[in-house]
Amino acid sequence: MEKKFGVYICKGCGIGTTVDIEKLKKNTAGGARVPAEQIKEHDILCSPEGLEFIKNDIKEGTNTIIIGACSPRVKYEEFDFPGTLLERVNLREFVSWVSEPMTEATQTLAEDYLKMGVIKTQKGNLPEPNILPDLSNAIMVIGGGISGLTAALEAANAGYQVTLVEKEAELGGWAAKLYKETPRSYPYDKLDEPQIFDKIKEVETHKNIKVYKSSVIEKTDGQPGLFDVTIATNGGSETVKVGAFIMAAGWKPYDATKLGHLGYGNPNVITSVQMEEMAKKGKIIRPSDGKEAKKVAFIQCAGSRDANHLPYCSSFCCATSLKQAKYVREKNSDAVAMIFYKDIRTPGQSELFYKNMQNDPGVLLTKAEVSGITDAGNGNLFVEADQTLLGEKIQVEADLVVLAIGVVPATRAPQEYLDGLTEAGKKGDDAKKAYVDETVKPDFILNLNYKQGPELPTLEGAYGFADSNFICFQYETRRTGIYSAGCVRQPMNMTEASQDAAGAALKAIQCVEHVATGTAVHPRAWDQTFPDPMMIKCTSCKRCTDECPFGAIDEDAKGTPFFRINRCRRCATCLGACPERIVSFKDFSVDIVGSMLKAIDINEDDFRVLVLACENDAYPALDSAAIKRMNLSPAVRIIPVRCLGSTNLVWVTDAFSTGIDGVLLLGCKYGENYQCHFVKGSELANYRFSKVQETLNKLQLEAERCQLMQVSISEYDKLPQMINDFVARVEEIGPNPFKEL
Amino acid sequence: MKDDPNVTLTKGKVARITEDAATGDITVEAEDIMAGKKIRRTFDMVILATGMVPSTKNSKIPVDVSYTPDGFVMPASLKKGVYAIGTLKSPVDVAKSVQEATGVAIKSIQSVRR
Repeated sequence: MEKKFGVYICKGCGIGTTVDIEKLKKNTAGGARVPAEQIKEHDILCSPEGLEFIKNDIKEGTNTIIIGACSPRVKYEEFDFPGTLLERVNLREFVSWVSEPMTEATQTLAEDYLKMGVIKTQKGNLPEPNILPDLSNAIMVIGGGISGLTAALEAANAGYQVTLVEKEAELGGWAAKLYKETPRSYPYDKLDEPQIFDKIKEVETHKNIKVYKSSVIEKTDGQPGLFDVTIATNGGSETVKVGAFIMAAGWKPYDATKLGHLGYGNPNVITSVQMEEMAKKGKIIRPSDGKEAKKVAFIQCAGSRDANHLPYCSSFCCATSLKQAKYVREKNSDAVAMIFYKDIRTPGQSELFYKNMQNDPGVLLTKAEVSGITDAGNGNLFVEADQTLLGEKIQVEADLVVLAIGVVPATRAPQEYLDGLTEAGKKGDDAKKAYVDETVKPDFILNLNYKQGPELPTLEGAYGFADSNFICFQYETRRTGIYSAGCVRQPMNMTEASQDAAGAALKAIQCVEHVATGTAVHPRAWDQTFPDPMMIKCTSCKRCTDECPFGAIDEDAKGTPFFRINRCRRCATCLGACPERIVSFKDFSVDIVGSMLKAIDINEDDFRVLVLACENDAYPALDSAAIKRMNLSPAVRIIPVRCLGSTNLVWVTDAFSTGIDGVLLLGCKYGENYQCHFVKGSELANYRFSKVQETLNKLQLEAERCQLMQVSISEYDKLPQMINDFVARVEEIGPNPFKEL
Repeated sequence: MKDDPNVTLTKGKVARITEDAATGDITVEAEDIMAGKKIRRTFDMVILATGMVPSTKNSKIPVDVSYTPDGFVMPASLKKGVYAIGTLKSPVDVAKSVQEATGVAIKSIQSVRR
């Protein structure tokens, strides 16, 4: 495409009164080498007249458009010109709303931003989507419980072919083992009959769903749109091609043998799962002698909310015990149910069920810490409890004790096994072999044939759940095209699991539809660029393969990395990692950002600080601060990056060698409560950042001139001060000696 | 949060809240159930964690649908093709609202592909 440029400067929202527009036009023409007649101004560019003004030029052949107006995070529907290369320069939030009007410093700031915007389009190109051939839009569902069945039906009803794999001989999961369900609707006073059997029937007869029972996934090859999944059934195997996965592998009860302190091991102490089986069979009995149980004690948080066992709340056990207390009461009106709880958690409408149960005089609810279970001598047990509301120790006799057992996701065991293997591997081949020989290998779920490992990688703070830890990024995992639903993601009840499954089905559909158009999936769901490495310069150092947070980079037989492009989320962590600097995107590359920062006006009398800001949190935080008109030092030049992980350290070196006085890297929080939209990007940037100091030493520059800061979007009010303080520290150090060269 | 020494959690019912007209300080009198005693503390500000009322408590939606006495929509009473999500159905947080909204979006695809 031969580029014909059009630079449009908006004078609205205060830009025209902060900056000398004539001078801005003149210096952009000179500084970025654009013909003066291609740089235009308008009073309100987003108005119908303003947009018409741009569209008329497009009709005349303008195809590369630079808009100097508001933040690219607003007015994107107005400034949408399909088929053109578009760059938005943030003159409003980064200049006029945060700087003193009509000063030399503000003028230079605006000129630098507009120049950088033009240079970005000069160096960049329109994306051409990379659409792989022979894509499948079929969806694989792992697990045939409530979540898996619902996900399969939702996707199939939306017109997609679904393959469902269930390891048990029958569909239904835990839901099929229930005697009754907690009330689903107002007035929440009657237990519901299990609905799962209708759902099983619907799945088994659906024309778009193929079910594999007694089956597991032996191997998963490929990438979104092109997964080849080998399903093993009773010794045989079959390979099917699918586009995306819904992982609804479910949960297991916590290992009750670890709950000896709550009496487990005694025949009359059972788990809530065993209680369901018993109720379904008929009478509630004392297992030791088959005598009908008249005094049933329920102990809540058995394993859950306990630092020694499961630190999290398993979410539905309170409602389950209330339900099982109703079994006790309905099956025998003489029987009493006693619930010992830390807190009863029945959020939302389930509070009404709790209230209804409280009104039953045969149900006793006691806040207490259970300190032990002792033998009452007559085959019965004593529940010993402390810290009751009356402040006294109590001892209550029960003929049956039910432990409200916690939820462990199916993903946890494989993750722990693989983490152990990695640790052993660090100690050498012998230690690794010993680990494999001595450790029981748990059931794997995905068996991915990925260089980065066969299962979803462990996520800090997720306790083995296949969760993203994000409020707005639910269902996402670190393996593109694989979405989790139900209790494998978080502990949840069946109503929630059904809603969750529908959500995950939508994400899987989005994935297959996006790869069909060569577009990235969440969180860059509009992006048609892709990493395009110049392979002749690749040294096979494998840094990209190791660092890619999504396992998108594979290696051929000779060990040369190559992209499985549909796995790629376009975070450009590989671009940041590559020491040979060979990874480029059409609108983001080492050369593009390098050229932009070299266009910054360096003045011997003025300080300049480059801020490489993550687009996901830091950039919107800067916009928010601007909306509040919080001042930002005019020494600052902000260049957005896709993720802090996409920062190539050569930019830092380039910045200092051109005379920039300080460099600030702004990224998301990392660690357990990470906020990085690409999970590991900011953490990797921090790791690489430790090497910056060496570079600075080589240049004989002070280490304090370069800093990395973590910022979350909600800290926007502190951000300008953080940046201004950094500028002040750089000013204290003094000018960059390279300026004079 | 429990581990933060500047955060105190108390189980108990609040009996009275009074304001000191001179200082503007607020005194809370409450029962600390676990300690088995009455407590009296003065604060700069008191925040009431108020509950959620669905918008349908006071203004009904123009379709034939049943409501709970609290004004929540009863989902089973909705016609096929009409869905209640988020706080219209039950009090929920942001994460659950996002979850439900994502889940219901698939219904629209199902409707147009039918």
